[in-house]
Formats: sequence, C-alpha cells, structure tokens
Amino acid sequence: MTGGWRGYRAVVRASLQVGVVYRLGFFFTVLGNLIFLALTYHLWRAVYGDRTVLNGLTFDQAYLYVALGSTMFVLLKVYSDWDVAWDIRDGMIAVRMARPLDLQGFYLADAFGRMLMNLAAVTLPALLLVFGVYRIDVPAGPGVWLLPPAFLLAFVISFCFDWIVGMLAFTTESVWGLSIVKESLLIALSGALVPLAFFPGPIDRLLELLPFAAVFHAPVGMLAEADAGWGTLLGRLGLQVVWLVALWAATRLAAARALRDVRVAGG
Amino acid sequence: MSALAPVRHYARIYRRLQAQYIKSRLQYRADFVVASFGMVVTTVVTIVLFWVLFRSVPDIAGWTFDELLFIYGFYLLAISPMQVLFDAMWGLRMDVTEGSFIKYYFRPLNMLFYYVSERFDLKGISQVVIGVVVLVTASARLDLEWDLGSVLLLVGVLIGASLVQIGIMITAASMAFWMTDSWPVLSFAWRLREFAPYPITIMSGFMRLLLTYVLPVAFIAFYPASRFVRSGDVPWQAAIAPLVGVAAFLVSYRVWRAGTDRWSGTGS
Repeated sequence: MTGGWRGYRAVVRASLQVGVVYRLGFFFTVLGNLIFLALTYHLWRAVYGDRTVLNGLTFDQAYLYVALGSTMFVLLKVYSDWDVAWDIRDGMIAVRMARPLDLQGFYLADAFGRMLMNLAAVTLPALLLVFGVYRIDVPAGPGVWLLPPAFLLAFVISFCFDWIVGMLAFTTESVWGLSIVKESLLIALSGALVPLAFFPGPIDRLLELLPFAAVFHAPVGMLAEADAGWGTLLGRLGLQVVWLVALWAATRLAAARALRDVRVAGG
Repeated sequence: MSALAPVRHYARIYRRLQAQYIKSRLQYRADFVVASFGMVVTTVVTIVLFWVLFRSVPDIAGWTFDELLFIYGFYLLAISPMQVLFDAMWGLRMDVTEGSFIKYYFRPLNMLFYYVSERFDLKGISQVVIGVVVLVTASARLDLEWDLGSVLLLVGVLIGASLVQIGIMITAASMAFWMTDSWPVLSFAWRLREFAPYPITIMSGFMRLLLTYVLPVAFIAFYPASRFVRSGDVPWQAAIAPLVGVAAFLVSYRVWRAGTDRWSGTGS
C-alpha cells in the first residue's frame, strides 16, 4: 500500500508545517518546561538531602524519572483528544472520513507530525538542561538500545488514551474535565511526578502493570534503570506491546460505536 | 447621591449579567459534573503524591508534610478567584481575533468590569471547597491557634495573593491585543501557578530571584501562607505580599487599558 503511506506522510508534513508557524509558542512552552525542570531538580535535591539512595534509586535515577517523565508529557501533549471531540461536534469528522485514509490513521499521522515538532523545539532544550547543565548520569546497560521502540510504543499508547477521551467527551460534552482527569491520572500513576519505586508496598508493583506505566515509566525507565538487565527491561517492553494491542482494539470499538451515531445524526 | 451609588449600580449589573450566564450554562449539566470531578481528582492526586513523597523522608529542607499541606490549601484558595470570577480572560484572544470584542466599547461601563462580568466558572467552586477542607485539616494537624484577628489577616492576605494570580493572567490575556496568537503566553502564565506551593527556600539563587521578583509566583502562596505556619519567623516578603498583589493588579490593568486603547477592531 505505497499510495496509502504517501497519504499519511503528507498528513505528517502538513501538521509539521502548521507547527512551524507557531515558533513563538514554542519559546513559551520551552520556558515553562525549563522552569519546571529546574524547580523539580531543587525539590528532589532537597528530598534526597545527604542520602545517596532512596527506595533503590539514586538521586540521578529519581531525577531522570521525573525530569524525562514530565518532558515526555509535554512532548506527547498533541491535543488529539480535543481534536477528535471538536471534529465530531462540528461535523469536520465527516470530511476526514471521506478521505481515502484510515480515520484513526489520519489522526495518528497528524499527532506524529506535532510530536516531531515538539521533539525538536521542546525536548532538545530540556535534554540540554538535564544532561548538559545538571550533568545527570545514565547508568550503562542495555536499556539505551530499547529506548527507541519503548518510546514509539508509548507514543501510540498515549494516542489511544487521547482517542478514548475524545470519544467519551463527545458523549458527555465535556472535553476539559475528562482531559484533566486523564492527564493527572496518567502523570501520577506512571511515575512522572514521583517515581513508582517511591509508592508503598504492593502498590508500586500494581502500578507497573497498569497501562499508565506504559506511557512514561516504561520508556523513561530504559534510561533511568538502563542497567536493570535484559529480562526486566524486555518484560516492560512486552507489557507495552500487550497494552498497545488491547488499547488499539478498544479505540477501534469506541470509534465504530461513536461514529455510527454520527452517521445517523448527520443524514 | 451617596458615594456608594456607583458601587451599588455596578453590583446590580454584575448580578444580572452573571445570572444570565449561569442560566445559559445550566444546559450543560454533564459538563459541570465532569469538570468539577476533574478538578477534585487533580487536587486529590497532588495531595496523595505529596504523601507518597513524605513516606520516604520525614521533611523536605525542614518543611513537614502538614506545613506543605497548609500552604497547598492556601494556594487552592488563592488561585480560585481567578478561576471563578475572571474565567472570561480565556476567551479574550478569540473575541479579539473574531472582532466580537468591539461591543464592549459601546457600553457606559468599565470595560474590564463588563468583560469579566459575563462569565462565571461554576466548576471552580469545587476548588474553593477542597481548599477550605485542606486548609482546616492542615491547620488542625499543626495545632494552629486562630482568633478573630488572625482569621481577618488570613482573609486579607488571601485577597492579596489572589490579586497576584489575577494580575498575571490579565497581563497574559491582554497580549491578545498585540499578538495574533496569544495562547502560548496565556498557557505559560497559567502554568506558573503550579510553581507557587513549593518552598521557594529550596531554590538556588537564580531560580529564587526569577520566581520572586521577575515572575511574582512566590507571592501567590509560599510567602503569604508561610507566616501562618511559622508565625515565629515571618520573612519580610510575607509582610509585603498583599502589596505585591495590589501592584500586580494595577500593572495588569494598565496593560489592559493600553491594549483596549490600541485595538481598533478587525477592520471589517
């Protein structure tokens, strides 16, 4: 299906170009993110005090979890949930359905383009601060090789969450409320504000199994715990694949149901 | 005519406009419930995370869980007036781009007053409720003593703190008069409040200067609230916090005025 791929590539390129127009926007997003990273750095320095290890994590490892976790949060914030909900509401979705591209494929390609734009504009300065200024060390180990696939899986899983929220928002007429519930649960339960290792007793194990962990904990852990050994790291990657399949199937179902209603209403 | 007449006049108009808006919002009951629920979830999640953090350490740079809980409760109340009463600011950029802002020039009312009177954020009420619960709980756990004087002081200081947040947001929203898309500035300004409940004293010199004097975020919660937690040592920044609020509001009003004077419609 080479023709199909060309179509998706065009969508990615178009959404990248829209992104470039908003350069000033990136300046403020970058600034906000850098201030947050600096604040988190001082907060976690104060948490560690003169301890070297807490809950099995060194300061560098804990800071990697929260700094890269929140950076990834900004990176993956491409507003697909808002897009889907608004497109359904104002009927734009009918135009998108008429295209010779898979509907979800279209939104995924659009999200991918915006994510790439974020990657260049928002993520690079953040990495510079974390590794260049604060000189955080990544433990040597196999995790580094597993980072790219883990990141791509996380991107698609995050897209699935957005898609589900967008569909639900259509029925409840409230994007804002659902979107902030999604954001706060996602960022908290996947260890992007406090690493999962800090959670008590069996809860940390449970959180590792939930789909939330597949978005930030799994990919960031490839760096923060790069030395955890192939077994542990491949286990996390495998769990990401399982959640990706399950969530993708769920979004297909949600889409089919919601769009059936649209077809009826739009006649 | 008494000196209070204009105040009464404005109060009556405010009530009428708000009643109108609230009536129109009642159509979207599901949205109200979900959005309120969303605010509650976000707040509870933050508190739980604080608690998780304090399981591993007894204090953070000398600050205990209960002390930070009090500051967080104060923070929730300090950002609520912006959330509830100045919600209209979010729509300014659209009104300016689309030109519908022009109607505010033709009323014999203060434009800022008229503009914010048309909106009221119902869901923000849930934040006020949680804020009070958190503040009372933290205060009980800390065994803080309250009398009429200190409660009045708390209310006064809260108003000052909320003016800092309002001032920041009006300034950011007013950028719509100069920029084609002011969304980034607005969302940056909105994000700043997240930095408010942390003890500014854990920061290095640069960050402390930035969050105190360049972006007056530390005056939204940390400085004004800490005086109640540690009444023994009140930093001078806590004493001037309400003045910072008044100043922030006056500056933002000047920016708003400059913007409305400059803007001349979309040309159509």
